[in-house]
Amino acid sequence: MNAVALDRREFLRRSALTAAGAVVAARGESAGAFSLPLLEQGGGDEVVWDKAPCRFCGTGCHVQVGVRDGRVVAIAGDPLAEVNRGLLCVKGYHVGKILYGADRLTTPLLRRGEGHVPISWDEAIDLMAQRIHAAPDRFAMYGSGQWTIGEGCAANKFMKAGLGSNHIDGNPRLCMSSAVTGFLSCYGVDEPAGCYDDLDACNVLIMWGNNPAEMHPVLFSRVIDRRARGEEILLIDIGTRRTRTTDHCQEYLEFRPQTDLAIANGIAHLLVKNGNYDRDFVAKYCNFRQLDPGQPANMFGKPMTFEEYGAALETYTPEYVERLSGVPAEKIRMLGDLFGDRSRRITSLWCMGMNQHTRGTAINCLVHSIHLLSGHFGRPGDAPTSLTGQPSACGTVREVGTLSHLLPGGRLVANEAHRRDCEDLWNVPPGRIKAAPGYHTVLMFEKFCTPSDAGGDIDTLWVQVTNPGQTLPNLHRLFNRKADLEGKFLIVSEVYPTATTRLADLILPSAMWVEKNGMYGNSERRTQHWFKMVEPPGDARDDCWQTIAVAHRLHDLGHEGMKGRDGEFIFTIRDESGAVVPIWQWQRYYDVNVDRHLFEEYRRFTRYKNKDLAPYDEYVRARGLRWPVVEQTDGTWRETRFRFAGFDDPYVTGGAEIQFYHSVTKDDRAQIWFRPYEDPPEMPDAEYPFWLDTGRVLEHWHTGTMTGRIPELHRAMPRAYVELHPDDARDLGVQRGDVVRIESRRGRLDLPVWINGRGSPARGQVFVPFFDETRLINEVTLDANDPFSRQPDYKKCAVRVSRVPPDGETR
Amino acid sequence: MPVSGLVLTISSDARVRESLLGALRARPEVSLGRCEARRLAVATDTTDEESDRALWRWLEAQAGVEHIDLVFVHFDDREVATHERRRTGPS
Repeated sequence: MNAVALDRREFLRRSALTAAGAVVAARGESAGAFSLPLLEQGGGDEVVWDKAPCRFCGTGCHVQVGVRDGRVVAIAGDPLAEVNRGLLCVKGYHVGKILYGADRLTTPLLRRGEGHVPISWDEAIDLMAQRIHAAPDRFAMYGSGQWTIGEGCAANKFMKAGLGSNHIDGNPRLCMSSAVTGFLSCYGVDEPAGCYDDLDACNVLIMWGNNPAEMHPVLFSRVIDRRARGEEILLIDIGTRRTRTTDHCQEYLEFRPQTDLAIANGIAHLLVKNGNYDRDFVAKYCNFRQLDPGQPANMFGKPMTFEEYGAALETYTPEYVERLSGVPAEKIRMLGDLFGDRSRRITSLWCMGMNQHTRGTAINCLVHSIHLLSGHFGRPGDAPTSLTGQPSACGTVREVGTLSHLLPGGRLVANEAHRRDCEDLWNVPPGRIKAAPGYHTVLMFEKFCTPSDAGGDIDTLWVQVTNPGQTLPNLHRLFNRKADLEGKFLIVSEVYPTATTRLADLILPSAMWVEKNGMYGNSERRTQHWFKMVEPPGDARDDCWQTIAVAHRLHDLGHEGMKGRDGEFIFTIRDESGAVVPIWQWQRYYDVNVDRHLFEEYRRFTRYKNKDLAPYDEYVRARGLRWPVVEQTDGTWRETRFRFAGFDDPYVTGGAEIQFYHSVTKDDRAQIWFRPYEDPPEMPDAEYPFWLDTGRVLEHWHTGTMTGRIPELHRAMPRAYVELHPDDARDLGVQRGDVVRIESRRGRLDLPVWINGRGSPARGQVFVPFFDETRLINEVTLDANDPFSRQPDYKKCAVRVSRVPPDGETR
Repeated sequence: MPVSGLVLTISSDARVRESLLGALRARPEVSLGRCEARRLAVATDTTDEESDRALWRWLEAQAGVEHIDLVFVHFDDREVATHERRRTGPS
C-alpha cells in the first residue's frame, strides 16, 4: 500500500470517527449546545461533503454526502439535523448506492414490437408533444411524493395552468390522502399540528396500525433512546399483526381488521360516560359533527350537539367493542383512562394502517377526535400525528397540490376564487384552470386501461418518479390490461427498469436525488433543500427539464395554453440582464437555478392557508424549516413547531391558548366527529377464509427499485414471502420455506412461507410485503377505496391459501 | 475495503465497561473516539465485506455492548447488485 493510499485510509477512518463523535455529542448530555461543521474537507482524499435529505421515506433525515471524482463515495448521518441527530437507518446509510445500479437507464427508449430501441431526446420530446397536442384532454400525468418541490411545481403548472387539465394525480393518493381528508375534516387545513418534538415530550405513545421500528426507525429510536436514558414512556401498539415495534411495547392490543373505528369510538364513549373528557377544551375550541345521510358525499357533514354525540356513542361500550374487535374490554377501559388523564402527554402515530383503509377518512377523524375530546392537543407531547411514506408526499403533493382536485397552497380546483387566485399568481388568462377535478389515481388508470371506444378517455399517460405497475391495487384490472389495448401510449420517466417500464411505449432516463437540485417536504412540515452534487449517467436528465421541454415543444406547436397573459412561454426565466434563458434546451438548463425560480414562484401561493415558506436561500443554509416560516422584525425567519398553539404559532391571535384559524365552521373551532363502525367491503368467507395484509419491510423502500440495487439490502431481504400464523401453517401442512398459493377473486401469487419471522400475523391472517418486483402481491389486492379520499385499502381483503406441492407434483 | 463509523451504547457498569474497552483496543481494525455518557464513537476498517460482517458480529457479542448505531459508511468498492429482472409481460 503506498503513502497516498495510507493517507486516504487514515482520512476515511478519521472521517468515520468524526461522524460517530458528532453523533455522540449530539445525543449525549451536552445535546443542544454544540455546533459542528460538515465533515472535514480534503485530507488528501479530495472528498467533498455536502448535505441532502435522504432519498427514501417521509421522515426527512439529513445525510452528509461525500463526493470524490464526480462520484458519491460516502454517506454519514448529519449531526446538525434535528430530525435524525446524526443517525440513519440501514437504508439511509446505503442511500448513495442507489445511483450506481448496473442497469441505470441512460438513453430514451421507444417501443418497437416486443422490445425498445434507443431514440434521441429530441425525437422523444417531439413525439410526446405531438401526441399531447393532438388530444390534450385525453392526456394525464401521474407522479408521486418522490417528485421534488420544483418538479411538482412544474408538472402542476404544465397541466392545470398550461393544458387546462386537472388529470394529474400521484402515488400519495395510495398512501396519504385519507390523512389529508382527516385533517381537512377536523381542522379545515391539511397536515399535522405537532411535529417530531412531540416524540421527545410524550409519556404515552400510541401506534395505530403503525410499525415505526421498521418503517420510520430513526424516529422510533428517539423514543427508545429516551427509555434507555431511564425516562418512563408507555408504548402501546394497536395493530392487527405483531411487528418489531410490538417487541418494544408494554401493551399490544390486537384487533380484527377494520375495527379500529370501534376502538376509537369505545374510547370516546368512555370519556363521555365517565365525564373525564376535557370540558374546558371542548367548550372553548370544539364543535361536534357527523355525516349527513341526506348528503352522503359531503365530507364536511352536518353539526350535532354534544348530547347527540354522546347518544351516538352509547352503543360502543367496552364489551361491545370487545365483541367487534377482539380487544379485551379492560384494555379499552385502560385506553379510556389514559385519555381521561390530563397529566399524561399522549402522542398518536399512524401511517398506512389508518390511511390505506376504505374508512380511512373516518378513522383519521376519530383519532383526531379523541385527542380533541380529551384535550390531548396543543401541548408538546400531546398530538395526533400522521407519518408519511414518501420523502415529499407533504412538500410536493399536499402542499404544491399535485393531486387532481388540488391547487397550490391548500386551494381547490372546484373553488372559483381559488382558481382566479392561482391564475393571477401563475399569470395565465382567467378561465384557464378547469373547475372539475381530474381523475383520481384509481379512476385515471381505470380509464387508461379501458378501450378508447368504450369510455377509456385517457389515451396518453406520463408517469414520473413512481412505479404504478407495482403499487396499484388489483393490477390485472388497473395496469396489466394496458398490454392488450390498441391506441394507449404509456410514457415513463425512470432511473431503472421497473414493473411499470415493462409496459411503457416510451421510456425517458431520469436524473435522481443528488444528480439534480431539489427540495423535499417531510412529515413534520419541514421543507428541505439540496444542491446537485454529481452528474447523471449517460443521457439521463432531470424530470423537471423533461416537463419544461415538452411544454416548450407544445408552445412551438402553437398550443395557446403554453403562453401566459403576457404572451410569453409559461416557464420563461430571465437571467440577471433580463435575457430569456432557454431552459428547455438541456445544455442551457443549469445556466440558471430553475429550482430557485420555481420555488420562489410557488412561495407566493403558500400564505393563503398560513403555510408560509421562507426565501430559497434560507433553506440552503438550514437543515430544513417547518412551516409556517415567518419573517421576524430583525429580518430572520422563524419556523413553527406547534400549529394552532398560542405559545408557538404566530398566526394565533389575541393571546388565545388555542385557535383553529382555518376552522371548517369559521369559528376558530375544530370538529369532533362521530363516525360509526361499518364492515369492510370484502371479508373472509368460506371460499376465501383468510385476511390479506400487505406492507413494507425494514430493508426495502417502496417498490424496491432503489433498495433492491443496493447489494447489502438485497442480500438481507432478497425476495418477498408470506407470514403465516403457526396454527394456520399446521392446518395447511406447511413449514417454513414451503411454497403456498395466495389467491383472491382478482389474482394469485405463489410465495415461500415464513413462520414467526419478521412479523407474526393473527390466526386467519397472512402478510405479504410488496417490495418484490418478481412477486407482485398487488395482482391479488382489492381496489375498493375510501369514498372521500379515494385511497384504496391494501391492508385487508379476502384470500385463500393452499400448499403448492414441491417438484412439480400434481396439485 | 469498508470503513464505518459506529456509535456503541455501552454498559454503565464500570468493570464491564473497562473490560470492553480493553477488548476493543486490542483489535487493530477498531479505532476509538469520543465517549460521552454511555455512548462511544468507533471507526472500523476492514479488508472486505466478509471481515466487516464478522467484526460486526463480534461487536454485537461483546459483554457491555447494548446497542450499535451505524452512522457513517464508505463504499468505494463499486459493488453493484445483479438485479433479477421481472418477467417481461403481464401474467
